[in-house]
Amino acid sequence: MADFLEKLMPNIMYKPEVYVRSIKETLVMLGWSGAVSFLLGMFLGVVLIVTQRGGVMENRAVNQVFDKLINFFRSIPFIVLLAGLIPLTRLLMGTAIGVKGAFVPLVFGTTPFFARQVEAALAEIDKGVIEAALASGSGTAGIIFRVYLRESIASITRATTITIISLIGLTAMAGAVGAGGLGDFAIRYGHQRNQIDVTYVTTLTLVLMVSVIQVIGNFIARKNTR
Amino acid sequence: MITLEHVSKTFRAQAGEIEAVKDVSLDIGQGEIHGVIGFSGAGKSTLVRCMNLLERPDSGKVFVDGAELTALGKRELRDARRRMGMIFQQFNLFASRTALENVAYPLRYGALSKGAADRKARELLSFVGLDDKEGAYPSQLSGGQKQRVAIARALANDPVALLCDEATSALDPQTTHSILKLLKELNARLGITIVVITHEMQVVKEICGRVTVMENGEAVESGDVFSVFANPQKSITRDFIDTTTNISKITALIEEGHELTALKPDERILKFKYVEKTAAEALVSTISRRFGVDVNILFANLDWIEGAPLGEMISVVSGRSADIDAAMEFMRERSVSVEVILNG
Ligand SMILES: Nc1ncnc2c1ncn2[C@@H]1O[C@H](COP(=O)(O)OP(=O)(O)OP(=O)(O)O)[C@@H](O)[C@H]1O
Ligand SMILES: [Mg+2]
Repeated sequence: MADFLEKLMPNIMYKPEVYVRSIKETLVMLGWSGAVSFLLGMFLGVVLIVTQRGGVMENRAVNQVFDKLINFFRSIPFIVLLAGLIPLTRLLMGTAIGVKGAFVPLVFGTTPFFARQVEAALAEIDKGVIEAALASGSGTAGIIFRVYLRESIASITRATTITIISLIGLTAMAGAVGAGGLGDFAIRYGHQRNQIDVTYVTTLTLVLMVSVIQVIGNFIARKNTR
Repeated sequence: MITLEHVSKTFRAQAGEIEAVKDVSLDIGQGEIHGVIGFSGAGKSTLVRCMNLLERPDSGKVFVDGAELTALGKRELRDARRRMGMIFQQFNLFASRTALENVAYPLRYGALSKGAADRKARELLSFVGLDDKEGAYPSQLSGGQKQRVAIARALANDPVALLCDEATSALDPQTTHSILKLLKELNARLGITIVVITHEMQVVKEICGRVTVMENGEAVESGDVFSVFANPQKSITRDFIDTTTNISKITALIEEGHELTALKPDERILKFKYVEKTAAEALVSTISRRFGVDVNILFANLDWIEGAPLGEMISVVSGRSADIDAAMEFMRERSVSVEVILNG
C-alpha cells in the first residue's frame, strides 16, 4: 500500500508532514477568518435591513454609510486587497505574513460578500410577517432574532455555504503570497518545483473540502426549509 | 374602546403626497363589531394601522381602552399593542414555526414559561378548532386554517380588541362564512371589540353592528348597520348596498324596455323598502286581500339585520288606481317606504 502511494505521489509521501501542516494552516485560516466574517457579515446584513427605508430602525445615514462601504470593499480585487491592507495588517496582527497575516485581508475580502448575501436573505422575508410580529408587541430585538434571523435560517445557511467555499479559494490565493496553507504548498512545490503530484493532490484535497461543506450546507438548509 | 380624534396620515411618494387618512374621528364602543368599508385605496388599512400605531398618524390622537397610544413611549406602546390582536388578509404567519409555535410567539419571553405558553397556545388552537394541527407548518395548512391560527395568535395575550384587515378577502365564500362565525363567537364569548376592514358589504351585513364608510381617506358615513342600510346618506354607501342586492337591475330593464316593464294603464311598478325596524308581517298578502290589488314581485332582497327585516322589493301592482293609492298609504303607515318607479 505504502509502496503504491509512494509511486503514485512520490513528492507528497516524501514530506507528508508538510502536506498535513498545509491542510491545518488552511483550516485555521478558514476557521478564524470564517467565524469573524460570519459575525461581522451577519451584523452588517442585519444593519442594512433594519435601517433601510421602512425598516424597524430606519436610519438613512447609517444605511448609506454601510451600503457604500460594502460596495467599496466588494469592488476591490482580492489580490489588490492583500497588498493594500499590509500596513493595517501589521498594525493589527503584528505581522503581514503567514497565517496570521492572512487573517485581516481574508476578513475584508469575505465580510462584504457575506453581508450582501445576508441582506438578500433577510429581504426575502415578507413585510407582513414583520408587521404581525410588531402588532403582537415585539420590539426591535425580537424582530431581529425571533423573526428575521429565525425565518431565514435556510437561506442564510445557503449563503454561508457559498461564502465558505469562496473563502477557501481566497485562502489559497493568500497562500500564494506567503500565508501558508494548501495554496502555498501547491505553488511552492507543485508549480515552482514542478512536482505535478503535489498540484493534483492539493486540488483533490480542496475539492473534497468544498464537497463536504456543500453537503453539510445542503443538509442544514433542507432541514430548515418549510 | 377605540377612539380616534382627528387622525390624519399623509404619505410622501415619488408621485407626490397621498393623504391616505384625512381628519377621521371615530368612536368604537366596548364589545362592538365595527365595520370599515371602502373601495381599494380608500385608506382603510392605513386607518386600522393607526389604531395600533403600526402607522403613526401625522396628527390626531388615538385612544385604546382609556390610554392615549399617541402619547406612549416605545416600551409602553409595546405593552399596549399586546392588548390588541391583529389579523391580515395574507395571514402573515411565521413560515418556520409550527401552528403551536406561531400561537405561542406573542407569549414567549413574556411573563410565561415555555410550558405555560404552550399550554395556553394549545387551548387557543382548540378554541379556533385546530386541535389536531399544532405540529403543522403554515405551508401545510389551507387558507382558512391559516387564518384560524392567525386568530389564535392574535388572541394569545387576551386582547381587548381585535383588528381585522381584510381577514376574509383571500378566502372562498364558505370559508369566509366560517371565519366570520368564529369572529362573532369570540365577540360574544369573550366580549372582544372587533374592527373589521372590508370591501364587501356582505361581510358588514353578516357580522357588524356598526359601520363606517370610507372614501378618499375620509369617513363619509358612520352609524349602526341597520340605519345605514335603510337610509344611506352618501352615494358611495348606496353603491356598496347595491352590491349586495339585484334591485338596481330594474333600472336596466326599464331602460331596455323589457316586456315586464310594458305596463297596462292600471299597473304601476312600485319599490317597497323597509326603513325602520318593524315587526315582520305578511304585508304583501295583506294588501292584496284588503285592497283587491295584484302584487307581482319582480325583485326582492330581504334580509334580517339585528332581528328586523331589511331590504327592498320591486313589484308590479295592478288594480284600480284608488285601491293602489290606498295600499301604498297602508304600507307607509307600516313604516315601509313606497316609491313609484313607473306608472302605467
Ligand atoms: N407606505 C405607504 N407609502 C406610500 N403610500 C401609501 C403607503 N401605504 C398606503 N399608501 C397609499 O395610501 C392610500 C391608502 O392606502 P390603504 O392601503 O390604506 O388603502 P385600502 O383602503 O386599505 O386599500 P385596499 O382595499 O386596496 O387594501 C393608497 O393610495 C396607497 O397607495
Ligand atoms: Mg388595505
